[in-house]
Amino acid sequence: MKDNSDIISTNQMIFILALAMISTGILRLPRSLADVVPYDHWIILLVTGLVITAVIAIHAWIVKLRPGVEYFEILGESLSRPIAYIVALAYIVYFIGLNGLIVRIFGETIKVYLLTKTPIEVINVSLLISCIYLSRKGVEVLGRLAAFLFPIVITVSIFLFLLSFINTNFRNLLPVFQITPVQVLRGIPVTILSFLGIEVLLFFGANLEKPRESMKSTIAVAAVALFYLLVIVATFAQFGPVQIKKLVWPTLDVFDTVQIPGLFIENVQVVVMSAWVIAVFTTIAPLYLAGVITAKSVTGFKDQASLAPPFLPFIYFASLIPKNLAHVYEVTDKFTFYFASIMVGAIPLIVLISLLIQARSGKGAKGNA
Amino acid sequence: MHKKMIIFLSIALLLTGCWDKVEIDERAHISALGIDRYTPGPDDEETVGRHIFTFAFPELKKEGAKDVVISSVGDNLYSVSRIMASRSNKEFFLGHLRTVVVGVDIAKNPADFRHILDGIENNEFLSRRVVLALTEGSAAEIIKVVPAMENKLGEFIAEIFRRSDRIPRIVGGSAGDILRDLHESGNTIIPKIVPGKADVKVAGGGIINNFKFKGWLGEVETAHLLVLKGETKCLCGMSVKHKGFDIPVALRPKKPRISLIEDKDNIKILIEVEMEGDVRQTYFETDEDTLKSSFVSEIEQEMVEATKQRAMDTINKIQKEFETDVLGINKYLRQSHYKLWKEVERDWQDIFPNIDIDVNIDIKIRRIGLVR
Repeated sequence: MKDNSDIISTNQMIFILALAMISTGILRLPRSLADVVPYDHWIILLVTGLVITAVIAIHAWIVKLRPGVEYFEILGESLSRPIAYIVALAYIVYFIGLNGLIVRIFGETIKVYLLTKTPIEVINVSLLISCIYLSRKGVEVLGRLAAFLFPIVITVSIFLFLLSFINTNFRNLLPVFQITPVQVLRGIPVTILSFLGIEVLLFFGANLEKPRESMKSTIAVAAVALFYLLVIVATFAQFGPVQIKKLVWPTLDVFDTVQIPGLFIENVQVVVMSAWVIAVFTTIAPLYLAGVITAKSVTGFKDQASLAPPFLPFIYFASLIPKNLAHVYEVTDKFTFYFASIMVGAIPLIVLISLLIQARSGKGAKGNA
Repeated sequence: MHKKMIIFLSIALLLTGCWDKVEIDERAHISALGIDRYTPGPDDEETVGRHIFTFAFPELKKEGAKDVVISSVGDNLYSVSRIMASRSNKEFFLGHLRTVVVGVDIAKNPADFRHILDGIENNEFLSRRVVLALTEGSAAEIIKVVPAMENKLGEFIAEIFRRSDRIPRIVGGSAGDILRDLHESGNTIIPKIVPGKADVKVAGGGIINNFKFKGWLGEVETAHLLVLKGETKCLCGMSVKHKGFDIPVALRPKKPRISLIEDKDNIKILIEVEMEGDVRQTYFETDEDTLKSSFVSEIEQEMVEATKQRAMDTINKIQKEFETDVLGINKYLRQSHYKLWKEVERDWQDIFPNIDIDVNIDIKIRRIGLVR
């Protein structure tokens, strides 16, 4: 953690990853799960947590195999130079698309709950401008910010979820252990969206102080899975599996039911919204920065600060592509199912296999990899 | 040059106005809302499914003044609260709404009722903590009542409900719970509210079956229903006849235990309730020795019999007269006997009136008062 050397510690990396995962997906996670199956949602969540742990282990392994090397260089090494350019470009499109969708859902939610008359364009652009500001500098700034914001977001939201337990009925979580393996498999794709963001490990891996410890990133996944478990228990205990299907953003509605005599504010939803705005910002910012870093490696540009602003119009227009909220979620589902699973799961796996094969064949030349 | 540009830009961004700004005194903070069915007069244009919305809001500038009450005819809550803006100098704001009273005529028509319910659930400012109540007559009449103890009616009703677990005979009326029940089965019980001269009374409840009003459940029956559902902490105001005298006993029920009893022919449900109680008084210079445990067990026995009788009457009325599962047996089966529930789920409406429900009540009297 030297000053201005753009190096981050393992802990900072864990904070970045955890905050990058928690974003707009959390708002509808309970509804998506309730649509799949009327019971045992927590099992689906834990299984998905294991799947994601495996994925991030792949990412961490890549980082460990080539310490201090940028992901674009690794791509070139493992897939050959021309393919690396294509894949890197696909990653840039992926970051723009994912950010666009997150920004859009963010804007829609803020417009419904907080700023009803503010144009959505203003909400979106002001969020993106603050991301530019962060992306001008490197990963270290992000690491420090994440280490600062993580405790705030987590303590506030855990406290508020616990408040919602006062007027709740845990019998709504019954029955248990009715789920079949097929239903678990059907539940995994809808849950994965809530874990997207782990791929930034690949892009920030080169900045890790101790790349050997990169496997510790799995802690972030475990922490987020536990946090989501709390969310699921709170929402399902409050609304029951039937009503949740009908709620667009059940996670926010939970706080609408919190009623504690003597509490200094009437509506705790406001506090939740502010914690959630931070959580969304800390998702968009790393994705934005990862996009900028990729663009920097592809173009060979030295000045990162001037590469950040050109991303804004692309993300902004990507956020305007879906016609309405229903369309937003349809597009998001397709995006996650097809594009994200390739970019986050398949490509790193191919890269890892290629690296391992290279390491084995070139054992004598390179020593231990 | 650069610095100047940045300063100008930040002035433009930071110091310009706010889209959503409404001064607090320019808002009408609606505290109570009444919704009635509107019957068009002979001169009216032909309109279907229209409602009368009555709003009450405090005048912020005058301390302790009566609420302002205005009403309007319209199709749905959203449009009316918008249209009202052209009739008042204030912006209507539903964020502080405490009480919604619905005239029973609306609940008699499922289409109207569902229209109103979604208007309530879908409004982002309207909280799930809002109290939802039914009234037999006109809801507007209730909104117009000025309670002697508290000028603001919305607050008055909400405060009654806030203490609901300590008052017998009141169904917890929070919109969140009612909406959840309706989402799950279409059945629920909504508290009944009756207007008085300088107050309103909340007691009993209206049974809703498949989004349609089915009938009123009386006060004593409601109290026993709440005990069977485990939604109250006291069953006060009950007394037992003992040798010609009424002896009041305050009862504190615990959460009931529901179980399914194996039976080939029929679904058999057993609800067991344990209660603790205190004898509140007997009569002056009583012939009984209240310090004798035989007296206490006599009272216990009589109380068990009386309570069980009333509970069975309640269940009987719910099963045979209303044919509506407001006891939560459907929930219990879904949560604890999922396989059986899957078999009966489709026809539950027809099965429920014919299942066997038995009640076991156990009362332990702990205290007998200060006078022997």
